[in-house]
Amino acid sequence: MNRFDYKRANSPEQATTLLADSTGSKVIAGGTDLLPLMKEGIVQPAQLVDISLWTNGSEIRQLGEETQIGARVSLSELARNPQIVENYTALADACRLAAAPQLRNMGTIGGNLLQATRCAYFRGTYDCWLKGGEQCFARSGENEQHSIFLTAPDQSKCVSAHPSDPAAALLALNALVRYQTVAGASEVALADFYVLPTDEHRSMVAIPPDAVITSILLPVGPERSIYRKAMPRATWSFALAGVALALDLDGGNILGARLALSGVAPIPIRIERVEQAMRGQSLAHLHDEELAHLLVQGAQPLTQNVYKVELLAGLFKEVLREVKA
Amino acid sequence: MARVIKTKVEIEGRVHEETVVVEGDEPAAWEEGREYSVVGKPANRVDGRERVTGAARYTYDVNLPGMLHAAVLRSPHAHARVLSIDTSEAERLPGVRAVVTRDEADIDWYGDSGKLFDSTMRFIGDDVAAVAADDLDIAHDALKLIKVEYEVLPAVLSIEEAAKPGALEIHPRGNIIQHNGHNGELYSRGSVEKGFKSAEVIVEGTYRTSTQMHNSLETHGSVAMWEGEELTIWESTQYIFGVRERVARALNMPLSKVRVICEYMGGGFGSKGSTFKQAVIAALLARIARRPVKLMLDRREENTLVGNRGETVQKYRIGATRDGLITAIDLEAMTGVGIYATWAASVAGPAQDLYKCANVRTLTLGVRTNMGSQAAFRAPGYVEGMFGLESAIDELCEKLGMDPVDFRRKNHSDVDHSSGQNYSSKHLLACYDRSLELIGLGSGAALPVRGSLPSNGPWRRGMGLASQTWGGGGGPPAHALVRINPDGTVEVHCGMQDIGTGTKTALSQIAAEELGVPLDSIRFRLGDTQKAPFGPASWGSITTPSVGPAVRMAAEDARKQLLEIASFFMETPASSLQLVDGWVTTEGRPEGRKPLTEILDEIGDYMVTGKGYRGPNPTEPIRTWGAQIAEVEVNIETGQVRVLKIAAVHDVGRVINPKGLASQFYGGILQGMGFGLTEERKVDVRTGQVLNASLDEYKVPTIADTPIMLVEAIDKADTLANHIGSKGSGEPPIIPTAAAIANAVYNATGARVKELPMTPRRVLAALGELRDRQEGITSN
Repeated sequence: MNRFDYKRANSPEQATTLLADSTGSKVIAGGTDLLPLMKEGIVQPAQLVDISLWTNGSEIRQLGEETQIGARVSLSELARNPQIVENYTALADACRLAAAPQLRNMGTIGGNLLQATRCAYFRGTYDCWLKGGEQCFARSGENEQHSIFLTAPDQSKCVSAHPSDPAAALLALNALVRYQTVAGASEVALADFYVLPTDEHRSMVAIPPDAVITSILLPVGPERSIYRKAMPRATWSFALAGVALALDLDGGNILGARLALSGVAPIPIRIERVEQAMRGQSLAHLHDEELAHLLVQGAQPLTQNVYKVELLAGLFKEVLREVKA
Repeated sequence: MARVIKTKVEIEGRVHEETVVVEGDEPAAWEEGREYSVVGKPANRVDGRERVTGAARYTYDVNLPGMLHAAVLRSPHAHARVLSIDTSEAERLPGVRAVVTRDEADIDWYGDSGKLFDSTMRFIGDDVAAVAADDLDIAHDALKLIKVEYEVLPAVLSIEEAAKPGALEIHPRGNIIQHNGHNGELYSRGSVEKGFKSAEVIVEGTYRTSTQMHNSLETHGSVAMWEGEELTIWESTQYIFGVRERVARALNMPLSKVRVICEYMGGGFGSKGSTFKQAVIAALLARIARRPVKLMLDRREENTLVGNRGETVQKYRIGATRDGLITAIDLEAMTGVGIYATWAASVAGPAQDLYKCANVRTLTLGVRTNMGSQAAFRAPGYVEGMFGLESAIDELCEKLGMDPVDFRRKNHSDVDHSSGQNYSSKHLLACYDRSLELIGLGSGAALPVRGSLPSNGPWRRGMGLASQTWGGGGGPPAHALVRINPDGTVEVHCGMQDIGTGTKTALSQIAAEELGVPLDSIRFRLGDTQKAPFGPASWGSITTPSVGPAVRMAAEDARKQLLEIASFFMETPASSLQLVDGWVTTEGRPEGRKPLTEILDEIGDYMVTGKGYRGPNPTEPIRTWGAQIAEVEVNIETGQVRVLKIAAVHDVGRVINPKGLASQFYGGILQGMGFGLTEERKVDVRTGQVLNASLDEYKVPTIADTPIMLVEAIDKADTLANHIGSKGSGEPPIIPTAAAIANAVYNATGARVKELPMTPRRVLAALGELRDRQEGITSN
C-alpha cells in the first residue's frame, strides 16, 4: 500500500474542501472496496478523507412523501429497516443479498454505488483500458462473468459487469443521488449517475472526482418491488445477473413497470422495451416466456458468457413468478 | 530387539514396499464388537479450548524479540531467463536488514531441475530474490526497488498443448512425467481387447475436472531463528521431520542442528506435506541479518505457489454384458502437474480398484505446464477419477436399464485385483445399504428413476450415488513414548503433528483406553522434532492407523510396568491386577484396589516410561470404502444446482472418536461439493496469470451452501489391518461427493455434465445439448 495523508471531515462541506485541496484524494467511509484496491495498488490516493464521523449521514429520514437515505447508511441497516423493507422492498432485498454480513455492516450505500468493477484484469496487474491502458483484456480473455449487454466496442470498450446490487434496485425505484462539491450541493437521477466509459472519461460514474455523495432520495415507493440475483454460490458473491422490478399497480393491473439489471452490463441498465410490454397488462396474466424473450433480445454475449442470456431469462421468470404469488 | 523387515505401505493411493525396523511384540488386536470405555465414545477435542480462545500458537502467531519480516520478489513471467538482478537500491532502504538472491544462495532445490533462486523462471511466482526488513511494508517497498532484467521466453500453459508431440519443452525432463522410460504410467491386467469383444454394451465418454486450490486458512509460512549454529524453524507443515530433512540438506547442516516445531496448524489438505522454499529462505535471511525472520505467504502466494489439485481429462471406455457384468475398463487420463511436481495424481486408481473386472488398462500422463505445481490435495487423483468413473458407470446403467446400486452390487469384488488377495476388510455393500436407508429410500431399494422425483417449477429434483475406495491403512515407522508423572498424569510424546483433523484427540483416547486412566489425565505432546521420536507425515489418511498402534503399544508397556510396581506394594501378582479409570484393581476382589497416585507416591520420582512402535502391515491389502448419495435440485432455466442432502457412509474400520469422525465427513463432503460445483482456478491463457487467487473470487462453499449431511461409519474393527482395528478417515469422505452430485444432476434433468465444476454455464450447456438431441430425434 502506498503512503498517504489522512484527514477527517466532519461535514460534507469540509470533505469537499479537503478533496479540492489535494489532487488524488479519495473519500473513505466503510472502506470495504477502497482498502482492497489500495492494498493491490490499483488505487494509490495521496490523501484519504475519512467521512465516517459525519453526524447526519447515517440516517433514513421521511421527507414528506419522499425518503432520504444518508450516504453513510450501511447495507445491513437498509436490509432490515422496516420502512425500507415495506416501501422499497427491492432495495432491502438487494442489500440483504449483497456481500457477506461483515461487509454489509461496514459497507455504506454511497460507497456501494461508487465501487469499482470486479473484473480480474482491472483488479490485477494488467494495464487495462479502464485503468488508462490500450485494450480490454477480458474481451478476448476470461469473461465468463462479464457483460452481455452494451458490449459492442463502440458502446463500451470495457466489458466488465457492474457489481452493485443496490444500484439496480435504486434504478428501478427512480432514485436521485445528492452530492456536494466545492461549488455547492447538486443532485442527479441515478439513471444519469452511471455512464458508459469513453476514451476521455474512463469511469462509469458521471459525478466529478472531487464530489462526495451526501444522500439518496427516493420518491414514493411502488406498490410492489423486488430484487433477485443469481450467484455462483449461495452467498457472498457478486451477481451473475440481478433483476430489480418495481410495479405500480391498480388492483391486478400494471400501471407502470421499471425493470433494472445488474451484473450484465458495464453499468446498471433499464430495459424499457419490457417495461412498455408490461404496462397495462394484468399481473396475473403476464406472458412470462414472451417477456423473458423480449428481455434478452439484442444481448451481445462474449466468448464465454452465452449462458448468461439464458440465465438472465430464467432469473427474470423467477422474479415474475414471485411477484404474481 | 530390533528386527529389519519388509512391509507394504500405501501412501496417497500408491503401494510400495518399505524396509523398516520394528521392535518388541505388538499387543493382540482390540476385539471387534466389544465395547470399550474411552475408545469409540464421543470426545471433545482435547485442544478445542486453546484453539477457540486464541491461546493456541500457530506459526503465524510466533513473534520473537527482534524478529524481522520477509517477502519474496517473484517472476511476473510464466517463462523467462533472469539476465541480471540489481538489489543495491533495496539494500539502501532504511529498515532493510538482509537481501538474498542466487548470488548469495546457490542451492539446488528441484534436484537437477531447478535451484532455490534459479536463472530460469518457469511460472508466475518463481522466486527471484528475498528481503527481510523491520516490517512487512518496508520489505514490500524494498522488493519494488530491486531491478531485474528478464528475457521473456515462450510459455506453455495448457496440458493439451504441453502434451502434443513436438510441443515446446519447458522442463529439463520433458513435458510429460516419465515412468520406466515411457511417457506416463501404464497399468494393465487381462486384455481389454478381449474384454471389449465379449462386451454387449459399451459406453465411451470424456470427463474433465478443473484445477482446485487448497485454500488452507493458515497460509504456508515459517519463522527461522539461529542460536549459534543451531537452527529452529517454526513451520505450518504436515511433516515436521520432512522439513527438518529438507532444510538440513539445503543448508548442508547435520540433522541434529535443525529443529522444527509445529504445534498447531490451520489446515493443509495435502499442500503442506512437501517442504516449500520459505523455510530455507527465512533461514538464509535470518543468518545474514543475525535476527529471527518470519516469512508467511499471502493469500495470492498461497493459491499460486504451493500446490493445487491439477486439472484432468479422462477418456473412459467401459464394456459390459447385457446382464450387467463389466468386461473391460479402459482409461486414458491426463493430469496437470504444474511445473515442478515429480509425480502424477492417481486418476486411474478408481478404475483399477473399484469394480470386479478382469480386463483393465489405464494410462495416466502427468503433464507439465508453466503454471504453479500441483501438490497432494485430499485424496489426489481419486476425487477426480471417481467423478469420471462413476459418471461413466451410471451411463452404462442407463444403457442397460439397470438400477445403479444393483449394478454396483453385481460388480462388487472381495478380492484385490492387483495382488489376487482378499482385502483385510471390506464393507462396501453395507455402505450402499445404509446410505440408501439414510437418504430415506430404505436398504436394498433402487434409486429413483430419472425425472421421477417431484419438481417445483424449473427446479428439478434428483438423486445420485457414487462409491469410494482409497487406502488409509498406514504403516511403519511410527514411534511413541508414554511417561507417567508422579501425580498420575500422563504425557504421550510423538514427533507427529495434528493437521487439524483431531488426531491428537483420537490418539489421547487410545492412550487413555490402554492405560485405564481418564481421558483428561492425558497430555499429548507433538509437533517438535527435538522432543519426541519420529512420527509420520499427516497425509494419506495414515496418521491414526500408523501412530495409533504405536501409542497403544507404548501405553501397554507403561501399564505393564505400573502393574508390576503395584504388584509389589499390593502384594498381589501383576497378572491379577488391572488399571481402571485411574485405579489399580484386583480381579475378583472389589475391596483390593488403590488409586494409581498412591502407588506412584511410593516410588517417588521414578518415571515409568513406555515405548511403542508401529509394527508391519499384514500381507492382505488394506483399503477404506464408502458410498454417498446426493439429493439435488437443478434449475433448468438458470443452470443453478442446490445440494439438498448428502448421505455418507464409509467403512474406515473401528471408530475411535465418533465426534471427530463426523467432522471429517462434514469437511470432506463440503470440499467435495466445492470441487463439484463452484471451485475452479481461472487462468489468463495469454499470460498464465491466475485471476481468482483470492478468497472472495475463488468460490469455496459457505455455510449457506451446506446441505443436510447424514453421516455414518460402518464401525467394524479391521483386526487384520492393525491391532487397534482402525483405518484412516481424512480422505475417504471427499472422494465420492462430486461424482454423486453429478449423477444426481443427471437423475434430475437427463443432462450429463461432463466437466467440473458444474457451474450454471456448464449445466446450461449440457441441458442445451440434451434439448438439441431430443429435437433432433423428434425431427427425424
